[in-house]
Amino acid sequence: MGESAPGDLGVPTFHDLFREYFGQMTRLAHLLGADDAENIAQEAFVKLHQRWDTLTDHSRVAGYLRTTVVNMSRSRTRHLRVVRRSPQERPSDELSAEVRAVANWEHQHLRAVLTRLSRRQREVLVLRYWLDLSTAGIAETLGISPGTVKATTHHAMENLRKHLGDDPGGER
Amino acid sequence: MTDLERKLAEALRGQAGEVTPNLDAAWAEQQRRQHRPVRRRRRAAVWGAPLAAVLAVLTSVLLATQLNTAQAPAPPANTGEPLTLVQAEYQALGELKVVSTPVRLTEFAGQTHAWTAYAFTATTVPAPDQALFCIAAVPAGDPFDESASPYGTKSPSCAPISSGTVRAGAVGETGGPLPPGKAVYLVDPAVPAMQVFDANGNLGEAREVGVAGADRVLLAEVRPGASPVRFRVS
Repeated sequence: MGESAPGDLGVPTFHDLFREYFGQMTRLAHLLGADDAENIAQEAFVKLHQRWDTLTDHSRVAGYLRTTVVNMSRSRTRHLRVVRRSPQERPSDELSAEVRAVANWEHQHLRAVLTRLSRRQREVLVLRYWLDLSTAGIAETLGISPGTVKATTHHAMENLRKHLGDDPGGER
Repeated sequence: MTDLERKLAEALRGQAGEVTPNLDAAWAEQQRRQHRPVRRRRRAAVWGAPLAAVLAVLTSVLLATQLNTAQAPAPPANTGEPLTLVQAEYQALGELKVVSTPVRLTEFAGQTHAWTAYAFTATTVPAPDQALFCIAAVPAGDPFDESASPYGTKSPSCAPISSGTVRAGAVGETGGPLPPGKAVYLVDPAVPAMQVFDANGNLGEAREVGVAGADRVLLAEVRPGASPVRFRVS
């Protein structure tokens, strides 16, 4: 596994997909609040590997990986909430001293506010504004209807504005 | 795209840029994970743990159900021998000729007096050859003779004497000369004691309280309302 058979030049190998998507999936898990983003991406690929022989449409691999990473990130953040009993205190969202020096002041506030949104609102915003997925793509990834995606996005942006407005030095 | 949306996208890109995995090292790790044996154990645990819990609950329920519905141990159906006796019937005291010395069985309370139950052998005037085993109750303290006041409408009650090991007997009943919870038997002289069992297997010990002629008189404590149906000689 992982190597294309002769004549299958159009079908990507598992290794190809790993190199193409591993970084993206790791970043997705990181943006969703998981503190072990690389581990989640690794496990997502392990699950994909287990199903590899039964996959008929390799163009949907990216969607499968995204859904797996979102679900595993949920489990991880839920676990972290229980362990820490404080969802606001997520080290993965804390900026390192080096990053603080680089990131601008507005981005720091936006990131802090993102952590206060509900889990689904944060997922919708990350998938839309980072992965640039369509409403249908977000709906498929999260397993919800397009209407719910639109409503959730709307509420998430409203909350974002509200929190930024509440914060001293918020949105300007 | 609004200004906020643009800033949000930039912030997310900046945050995502903090993660820069080493793809070669990650691929090596991925290959290691694909071949790790622990996966199967974990998967087995995922299915096995809930299954084990369900099985444990089901087993507990089944055990509890069995314990709740389980009846007392089955009676020893083949214990001893069948105890089939002719039921004692009322005989007018005036028609009886007492043969053996009455054996005092027990004392019990009636409506107004205390009564003493006696067992004895007798014959009847109309049939002098028919030996009977009789139970009679007379007022406690009164001598047992033909002038004694009979108790209720069933005293004396008599049953014909047979030639078996247990020759005759009577089970106590309300209104009878022997109170409920008692049973008396006339048995072969070679039998000093015996065990009797009712249909549910409940045991009663019959012990000698006297002799009537050559035979022994045994008195047993039995469950009221349940007549012994089998006996075993001790």
